Amino acid sequence: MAIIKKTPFFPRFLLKRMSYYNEKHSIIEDFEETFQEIAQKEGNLQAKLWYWSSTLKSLPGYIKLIICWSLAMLKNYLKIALRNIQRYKGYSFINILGLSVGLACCILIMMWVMDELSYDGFYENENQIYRVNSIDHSAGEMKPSAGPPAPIGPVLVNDFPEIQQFTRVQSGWGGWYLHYGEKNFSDEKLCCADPTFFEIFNFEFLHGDPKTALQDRYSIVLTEELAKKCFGDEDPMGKVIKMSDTDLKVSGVIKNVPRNSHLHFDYIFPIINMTDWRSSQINSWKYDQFATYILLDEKADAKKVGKKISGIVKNYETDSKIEIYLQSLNKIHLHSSHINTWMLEYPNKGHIKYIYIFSLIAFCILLVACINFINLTTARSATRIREVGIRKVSGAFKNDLIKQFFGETLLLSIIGLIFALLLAKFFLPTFNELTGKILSYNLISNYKALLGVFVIVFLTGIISGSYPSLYLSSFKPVGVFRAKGQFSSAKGVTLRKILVIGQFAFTIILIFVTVVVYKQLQFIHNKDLGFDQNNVVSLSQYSMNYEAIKNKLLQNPNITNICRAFPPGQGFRGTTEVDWEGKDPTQEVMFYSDWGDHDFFDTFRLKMAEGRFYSREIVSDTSSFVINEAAAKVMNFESLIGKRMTYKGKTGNIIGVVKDYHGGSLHSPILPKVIECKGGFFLCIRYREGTTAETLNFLEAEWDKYAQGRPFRFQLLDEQIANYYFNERKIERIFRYFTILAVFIGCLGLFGLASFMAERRTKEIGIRKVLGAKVSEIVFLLSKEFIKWIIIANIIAWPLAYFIGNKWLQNFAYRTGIDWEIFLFSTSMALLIAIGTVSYQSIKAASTNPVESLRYE
Amino acid sequence: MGILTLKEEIILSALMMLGGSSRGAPVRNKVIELAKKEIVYGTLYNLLENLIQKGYVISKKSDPTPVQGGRSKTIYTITEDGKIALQETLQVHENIKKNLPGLEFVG
Repeated sequence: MAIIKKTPFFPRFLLKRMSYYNEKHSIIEDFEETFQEIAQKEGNLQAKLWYWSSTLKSLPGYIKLIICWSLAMLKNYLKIALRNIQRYKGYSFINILGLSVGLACCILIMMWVMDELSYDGFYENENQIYRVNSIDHSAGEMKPSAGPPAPIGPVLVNDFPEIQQFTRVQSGWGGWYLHYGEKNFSDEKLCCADPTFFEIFNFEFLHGDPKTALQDRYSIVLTEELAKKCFGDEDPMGKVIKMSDTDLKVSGVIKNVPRNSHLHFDYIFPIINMTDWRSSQINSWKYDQFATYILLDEKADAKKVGKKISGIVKNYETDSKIEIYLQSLNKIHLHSSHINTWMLEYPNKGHIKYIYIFSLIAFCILLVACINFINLTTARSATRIREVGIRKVSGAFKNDLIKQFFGETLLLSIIGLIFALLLAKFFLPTFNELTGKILSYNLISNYKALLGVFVIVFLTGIISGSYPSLYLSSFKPVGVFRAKGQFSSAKGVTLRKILVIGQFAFTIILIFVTVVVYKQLQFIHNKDLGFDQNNVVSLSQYSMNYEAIKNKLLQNPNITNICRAFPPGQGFRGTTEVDWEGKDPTQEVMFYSDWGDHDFFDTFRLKMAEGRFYSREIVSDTSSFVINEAAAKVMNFESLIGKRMTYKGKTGNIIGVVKDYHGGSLHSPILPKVIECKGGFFLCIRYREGTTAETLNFLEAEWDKYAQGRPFRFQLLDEQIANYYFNERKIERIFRYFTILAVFIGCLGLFGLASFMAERRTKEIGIRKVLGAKVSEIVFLLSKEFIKWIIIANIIAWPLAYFIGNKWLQNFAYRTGIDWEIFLFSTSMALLIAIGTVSYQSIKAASTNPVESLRYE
Repeated sequence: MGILTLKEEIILSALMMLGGSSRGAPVRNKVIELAKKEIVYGTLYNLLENLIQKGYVISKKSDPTPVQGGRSKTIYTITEDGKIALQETLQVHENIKKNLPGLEFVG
C-alpha cells in the first residue's frame, strides 16, 4: 500500500479560494480522492501533474465568474454610496471638506519639498561636481566656509589626477555695475570666474561657444534677459559693454539661470577683470573669497579623494590650520546654512531640517483629516446597521462588506482629491508668496508628482477606511433587528476618544510653537542692540572726495552724523594675532574687527563702558585701540585704561571700552571686537527721525554731483538687520497658517461629532427639558464630555510642546524664555475653540422643542 | 420528461451503475470508463448543476468523517424523475439501434 502523500500546496490553495464561494460541490475532497487514486495507479508524479493541470484549467472560468459578479455588485455599491452621500449632505460635506483641506496641504507641501530637492539638478556633470569648502581650525573653533585659499583650485588639479578641472567663482552685487550707452545696470548680479567655468557648469548657450567664451580677458557673457534689456532685438555678440571703467566684449549669451540653482548671476566675466585688488589675490594663500568648484573623475570615490586632499593647504602654507573637504553639488542647497558663503551672496539658503519638518507637518495634517473621517464615519454607523444586517442575511460575506465600505471611502477620497487639486491651484499664489518660491502647477508633466499624489490619496483611503469598514462589517445581524435605541455604539467610543484627544494634542502643540516663534520675533524686534539702528542709511562710497561730500551733506539740517565705515556687522574675520599684558601664551582667541572712523561712535550712538572713543585731535589715537566689553572680559583686567595690547602686528594703548553691541544677528553671541579706525566702504548717514523720504531725495540729488555717473544705491540699516531674520519670519507665517488649518480641520471633526452625539441624545434632552432643565444646563451636560477630552489632550501636549519650543530657541544665542503664559494661552485657545464648536450644536439641540424630539418612533 | 443530452445521459448512467448514489470522484471515474475519454471536474460539476436544476439529481452533504477537522462530502443521488428520463433516453437509443442499417456495434 503506497504511502498517501499530501496534495501539492499551491494548487490546493487555489482550489480552496475558488471553492470559497461555492460550497455545493465538495471540490477539494473529490480532487483529493482522484489524486490518491492516480498516485496509487500511476505514481506520484502523474498525480501531481494531474492535480496541477486540473486546477489551472479551472482558473479561467473562475476568473470570468469573479469579474461578472464584481461588476454586478459594483453597480449596487456605487448606487448605495452615492445615495448615502446625498441623504446626509451635511456630514458628507464635512467629511469631504476635511479630506480636501488635508490633501491640499499635502499637495502644496509636497510641491515645495520636491522643488527644494531639485536644486542644481540640471547640469550634465551634476554627479561629478563638488565644491571645495574649508574649515579653519584657528583659535580652537571650527568655522566652515565656502572659500578655501584662492590657489587651491589649480593646485588640486595639478596634484591629484582624479580631479579633472577647477573653477573659482565669486558672485554678488558689490557696487559694480554695467553700462551701455545710456543704460545703467546696477541691480543685476555679477559673477566672475575662471575661463573653465562653463566646462564644469554647462549652461545652455544661445549665442557663442562655451569653450571659448571666457578665454579672452576682456570678454563677458550675458544672460538672455540682460541681453534683451541691453540690446533689445539686436545681435549682442561682439558688442562692447562697459563694466565700471573697463570695456568688455560680449562673447556669449546663455539662457537665464534657472530659479532652482544656488548659483545665480546675470552676467559673468573672467576674474582677472576685477579692477581692484581682487584680481591680484588669485594666487594668494591668504585670500579666501573665491568659491572653488571641481570636476571629479567619474570613477573616483569622493570620500577617498576628500580624505586625500584635506591636509593639502599645510603643504604650501605651513602655519595654516585650514582643512579642506568636498561638498557634492546636490547637497549644497540644503546643507550650507552653517557655512559662510559670503562670496556667493546667496540669500535663499535652504535647510534640510525644514524639509523634514514640513513633510512631518504635512503628514500630521493629513493624519488629522483622516482621524476626522474615521470618527465621523464610525459615529454615524448606526445609520448603516440595517443595511449591513440585510446584506449579511442575504448571503454577503464579511469580505464583501469590507470591500464595499473601503470602496465608499475611496470614492470619498477621490472626490476629496478633486476638490483638493482645485484648492491647491487656487491657493498656489498665496503659498508662493508665503514661501518665497514660484511653483508652477504642471502636475501632468511631472510624473513623479502625479505618482506622489496618488500614493497620498491611496494612503488616505486606506488609513481612513480601514477602521470604519472593519467596524461596520462586524455587526451581527441579530443585533440589527432589535429595537432601534438599544444599539449602543459603546464599542467605538474609546477609539473615538483617543482620536479626538490625539487630534487636539497636535493642534495645541502647533499653537504653542507658533506662539513661541512669535514671541521670539517680538523679542528680537524689541531688543536693544547696543546701538541705534533706526534712521541710518548706508551708501556705497566708491572712491570719492570724502571731506567734500561730508561737509556738503552736513549742511542739510536733517542730517546729524556721517561716518565712513562698514555698518556694525559680525565684524571682519579677525585674527588670533592678539596679545596683551598678562596674556596666557597658550591661549588662542579670535578677535574680530569692525571698521569705522572717528564719527563711528556718534553715528551709531554706541555707549562707552570705560574711557573714550577715537578723537581726531589726539594724534596718538592713530596707534590706539578701542575694544568692546567682550574683548575686555577675555583680557581679564579690572580697568583697561592705559593698558597696552598688540593687534595685527601693531601695538598701542587701549583708550576705551565700548559697551557690547549686537553686530550680527541674535543667533550668535557677541564676539570680542576691536574697532579699527580705518574708514570703510560705506557712507553711513544718520538723519533726523521722520525725515527718511526727504533725506533720501536729498542724498540722491547730491549723489550725482560727486559720484561721476555711478548709480545711487542705498540700504536702510534697520531693514538690513531685519533681513537677518528673514527665515524666521517666514517660518512664523507658515506655522501660523498651518496652525489655523489644523485647527480648522480639528473643528470640522468636532463639529460633526458633536452634532451627531447631540442627535443621539435627543430623547434624553427632551425628557430633561420636560423635567425642568434649563438650556444652559443641557449645553453644559453635552459639552462636559468634550471638555474632559480637551484637558487630557493638553496634559499630553505640554511636555512635547515645551521640548520642541526649547529646541528651536536654542538656535538663538539671545532668546526669550518659555513661561507659563504661553501654556495658558495655548490651552485656553484650544478650550475656546472646542467649546465654541461644540456649543453651537449643543445649543441647537438643547433648544428644540421637547414635543418634536419625543415624537420619535 | 425530456430527452437528456448525451453528456447528461452518461452521468446519470454512471450514477445508476454506482448504485444510484455516489460522491463526485467515483462518478468521474465511471464516466471516464464509459466514454473512454477524460472529463474535467469543472464540466462534471456544471452538468451535475444542470441536472439538479432539472430535478433529476439531488445533492446532499453527508455526515462529517469522525476525524478531527473532518469534512463532509456531497453525495449525489438520482431521483425518480431522473430514472424515468434516463429510461426514455435509452429507449431512443434502442429505437435507433434497431432501425439503423449498416453500422456494427462494438460489444
